[in-house]
Amino acid sequence: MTEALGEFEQLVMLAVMRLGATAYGVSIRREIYETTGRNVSAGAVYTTLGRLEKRGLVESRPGETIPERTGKRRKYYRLLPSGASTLHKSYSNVQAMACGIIDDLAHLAGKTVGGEN
Amino acid sequence: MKNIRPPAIARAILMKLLPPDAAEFLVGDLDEEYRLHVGPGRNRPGSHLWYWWQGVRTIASVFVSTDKRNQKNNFAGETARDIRYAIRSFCRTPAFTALAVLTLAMGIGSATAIFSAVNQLMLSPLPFHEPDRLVQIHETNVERGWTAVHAAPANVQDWRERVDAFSDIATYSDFSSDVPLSVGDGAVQVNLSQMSANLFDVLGVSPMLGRTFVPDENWDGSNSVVILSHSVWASNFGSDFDLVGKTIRLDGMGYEVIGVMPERFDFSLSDSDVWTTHRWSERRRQSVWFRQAHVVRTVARLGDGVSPEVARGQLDAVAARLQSEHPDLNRGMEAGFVPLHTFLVGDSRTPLLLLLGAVGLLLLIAGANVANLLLVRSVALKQELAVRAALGAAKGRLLRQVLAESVVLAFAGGLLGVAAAALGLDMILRIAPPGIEVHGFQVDWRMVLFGISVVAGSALFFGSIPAFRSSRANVRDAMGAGSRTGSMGRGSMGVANSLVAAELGLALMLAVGAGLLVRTITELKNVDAGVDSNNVLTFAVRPPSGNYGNGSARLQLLNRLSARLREIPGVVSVGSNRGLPLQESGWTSDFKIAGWGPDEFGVEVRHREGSGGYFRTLGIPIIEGEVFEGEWDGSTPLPVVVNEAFANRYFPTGSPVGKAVTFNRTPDSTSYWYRITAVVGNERRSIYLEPEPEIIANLAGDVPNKTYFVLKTSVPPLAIARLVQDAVSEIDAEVPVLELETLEGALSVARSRDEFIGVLFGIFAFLAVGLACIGVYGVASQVARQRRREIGIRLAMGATGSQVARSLVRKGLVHVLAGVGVGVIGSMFSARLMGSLLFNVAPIDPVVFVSVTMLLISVGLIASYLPARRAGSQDLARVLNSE
Repeated sequence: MTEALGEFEQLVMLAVMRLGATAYGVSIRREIYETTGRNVSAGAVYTTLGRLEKRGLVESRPGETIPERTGKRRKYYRLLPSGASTLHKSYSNVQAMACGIIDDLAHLAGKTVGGEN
Repeated sequence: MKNIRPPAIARAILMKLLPPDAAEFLVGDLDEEYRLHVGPGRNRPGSHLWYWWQGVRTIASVFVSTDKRNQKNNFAGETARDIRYAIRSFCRTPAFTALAVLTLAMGIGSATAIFSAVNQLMLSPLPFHEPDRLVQIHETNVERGWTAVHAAPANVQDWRERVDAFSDIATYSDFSSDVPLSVGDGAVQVNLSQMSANLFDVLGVSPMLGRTFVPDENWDGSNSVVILSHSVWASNFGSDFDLVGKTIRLDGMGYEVIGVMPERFDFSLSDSDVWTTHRWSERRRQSVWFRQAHVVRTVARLGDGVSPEVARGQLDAVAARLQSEHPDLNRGMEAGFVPLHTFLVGDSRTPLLLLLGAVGLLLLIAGANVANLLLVRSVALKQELAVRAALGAAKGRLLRQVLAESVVLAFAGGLLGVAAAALGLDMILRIAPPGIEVHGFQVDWRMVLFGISVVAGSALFFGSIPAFRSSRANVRDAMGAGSRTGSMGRGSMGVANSLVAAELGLALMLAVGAGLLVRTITELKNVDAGVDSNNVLTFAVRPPSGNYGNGSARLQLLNRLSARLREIPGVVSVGSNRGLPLQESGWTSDFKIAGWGPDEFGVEVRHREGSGGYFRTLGIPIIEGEVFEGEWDGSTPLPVVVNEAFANRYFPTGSPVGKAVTFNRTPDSTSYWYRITAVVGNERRSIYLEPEPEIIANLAGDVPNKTYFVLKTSVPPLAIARLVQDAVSEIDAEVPVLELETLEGALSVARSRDEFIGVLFGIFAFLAVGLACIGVYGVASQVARQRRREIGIRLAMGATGSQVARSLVRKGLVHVLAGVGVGVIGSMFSARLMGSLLFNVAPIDPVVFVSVTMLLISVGLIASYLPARRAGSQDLARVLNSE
C-alpha cells in the first residue's frame, strides 16, 4: 500500500534526509524555513512526522536534553527504507510529469498572474 | 542567558492542552527556539509575543491535523463551511442569537463610545510643539486662601527675567470677551482674548498667513494688531488671502490683521477665536495694579534638558526673593506649576476615569452574560457534539466549530457595537455640558477591537467548554435517558451560578454609583441659590468699547435700556448686575471699615456691582436699611450693600449699616470710602460653596464692560424674548443681546457637569441591571428545565405549583444573595473613589445602598421566579409523557 505523499510531507521528509543524524523539531523547522522560506509551525511538523511514523515511513527516538530546553528531551527522526522509497517514488512521479514543461509552466504562471479575476 | 525564560503562562497552557505524548518535545522545541530567538537586539516583550504566537500556531496545527478528514479539504473551504454552519445554527435559535448579539453590541458599543471620548479628552496630547515641556505657572497664597490662582503680570515679568530653567514664559487672559466684528453693514460676535506677544512662539505654532506678534506689540502705543482663527477668516472674510495688512473693525475700533492661523490649529487655552496683545500702558506697568492684579494665565516652556525639579527649585527661590522685595503685595506669595495638559484637562479627570471604570464593569458584565448564554446553549449543543464525536469527529473539528461560532457572534456583535458606539458618541455630544469640551469625536477603532476581543474571548473560552467535554465525553452518558431533556452538568451549572452572582455584584456596584450621583443631582437641585428664579428672563450686553469706552457712556446706555425694558408689557421689574447668581463674577480684595484700628482689616472680600432693581427682581430680601434706588449724582459717597454673611462675620453684634468702607488694607488720602446702606440676603456664587461675605456696589460707580440684565415677568419669560431684543436694538443696533435665556436655564448650567456624569452613569447602571437580569433569567430557566422531571413527580405527588415555584426560587436566591453581598462590599470601596463627585451625600449613603440592594434582590427574585412559576404551572401529563 503506497499512498501518495502530500507536498508538506515530502518537504518534511526531505528535510529529515538532509539533516541526517541531527533531524529533530527545531532543526527541521529551520531547514524548511532556510531552504524554502516557509515558516511552518512546530505543531504541524510534529503531527506530520507522527502520521509518517504510523505509516512506517520514518522512525523516531527520544534523545538528550540541553539546558535551553529546560529539561525537555529532543525527539530525533530518521527516514526508514520504505519511507525513502515512497518519497523517491512520489518525487520521481512529480519530476516525470514536470519534465520538459517547467519552462512553459513558469512562462504561463508569469502571464496569468496579472490576468486573474 | 540564565535568567531568560519563556513566558510561564503560555508554557503552562501548552503543557495542559497538548497531548501528553507530544507536550514534552513540542514545548522543548519552543523553549530551545525561544532562546535562539532572544539574541542581541531582540527585546523581551517581542520574544514573549513570538512564543505566544508559536504556541497558538502549535495548538492549532496539532488539533486541526488530528482531524483526519481535514487532510482532504483545503483550509479556506473548511472555514467557510464552519462559518456557514455557525450562521445556520444561530438562525435556528433566534432568541439566543438576538440576546447574545445585543449583549455584545451593548458592551462593545458603550465601551467604545466612552473610551473614544475619554481618550480624546484626556489622553491625546495638546496640539502644540513638544507639548510635554509646556507648563502652567500659577500663584498660591496660603495667607489669602488662594490656591493656584492667576498670576500678576509684574511677577511673570520677574520670573521671565530671573528663572532660566524656562526657555520662555508667555501670558494670556482667559477672560475672553464677546466683541462685535464689523462685517459689511452688520456685525457678528467673535471671542477676543489678549495674550503676550510671545505666546504663539512658546506654544511652537506658526500662522498659515502672515506672522505672529512681535515683542513691541506687547505695549500700548503700538499698532492695534490682531490674529484671526481660520474659521473667522473663512466665514467672515471669504478666505481672502490678501486680508493680512488690512484693517478690520473689532469692538468698534480698527485693528490691523497680521496673521491667520491654520485650520487644524486648536487654541485649547480658552474658547477664543480672535487674538490680540495685552497692550498694557506704561502707566499701568508702573502702577501697583501690575503686581496686585492676578489676571493672567501663563504658559512656560521648560528649557532643553531641564528637569521640572530644577525649574521648581529656581522658581521657588525667585518667588521667595519677590516676597522680600515686595512685602506689601507679595507677602506669602508662592509660585508653582503643573503640566499644561493637567491644567487644561485636569478638571475632567476624575469623572472620566470613573466613567472608564464603569465601562470596564459593563464590559465584564456583558462578557459574563454572553458566556452564560453560551453555557445554557451548550447544553443543547452537548448532544449534538456527542453524536458527532461518536460518528468520528475529532476534538479539533468540534473546537473549530465552536471557534467559528464565537467569531460569527463577535463579528455580528462588533458590527452592531460600532453602530451603537457612533450613536452613543452622538448622544454624548448632545448632552455634554459646555464645561466638558467634546468636538470632533470619532469612534476609536482600537477600542472596538479591544471590546470585541474581551467579549469574544470570554465567549470563546466558555464556548469551548462543551467541545472539550464532549470529546472526552462518554457518548452513552450524553445520549442516555436522563439527558434527553438536556441538562447542564454539575460543573457547568456551578460556573453559570458564579457568573450570575458576579454579574449581580458588578451590576450592584454600577447601580450604587449611579444612585449616589442621582442623589447628588437632587441635592444640587435643592441648593438654594438665594434668589427666586421663577419667571425671570436674563441676558447680557457688552457695549462695543469704540462708542462706550468710558463708564459714563456705558452707564447712560444701561439707564436708557432699563427704562425701555420696563415699558415692555409683562415686565414687572428690571435689574442689572456684573454677574448672575452661581457665577463667580466680580473681584476680591482686602477692605477696611472706618473706625477700625490700624491692624484691623478684612481679607479678600468679594465685591461686584449691581443696580437696586437687581435685589427686587430676584426676590433677595432686604434685611436692614435701604438699597440704592434711582440715579447716583456723585454728591454723596457711593452706596454699597453687604450681604448677611458679611454682616454676620464682621458685625456679629452691631450693624454695618451707615458705616464707611474702603477696598484697601491700609487706607491713605487717595482711598475712596463707600457707604454701607443695607444688608441683603445671601446669594450663592458657587453651588458647592456656602455663601461668602460680599459687597455689592452701586453700578454707577464702576460700570462693567459686560452687564447682565434680569427681568421679572408676569408672563412666561421667553414669551417676551423677541420684544427684549427689539427694545435693545431700538436703543442701539450695535449692541447685541447675549445669553438670552431664563434664569432657571442659566442656573442649571452650574449643575450640568454633574448631571452629565449622572446621566451616563445612569445609562450604564440601567444596562448593567438589564444584563444581570437576563443572566439570572437564563440560568433560572435552565434550572427549571433541568428539574422538570422532579417537578413533574412532585406535582404528581400533590405539591401545588406555587410550592414548587417557591422551592426553585429558594435555590436561586442563594446565588442572588451571594452576588449582592459581594457587590455591596465592592461598592463600599468603589464609592469612596467617587467622593469628589458627590455633594451633600456620604459615599456610603444608607438610602442608596439599601434601595439599590433591595432593587437588585427583587430583580434577581423576579428573574428567577418567572421560569419557576412556568415550571410549577406546567401540564403534568405533558411532563411525564416527555420522559
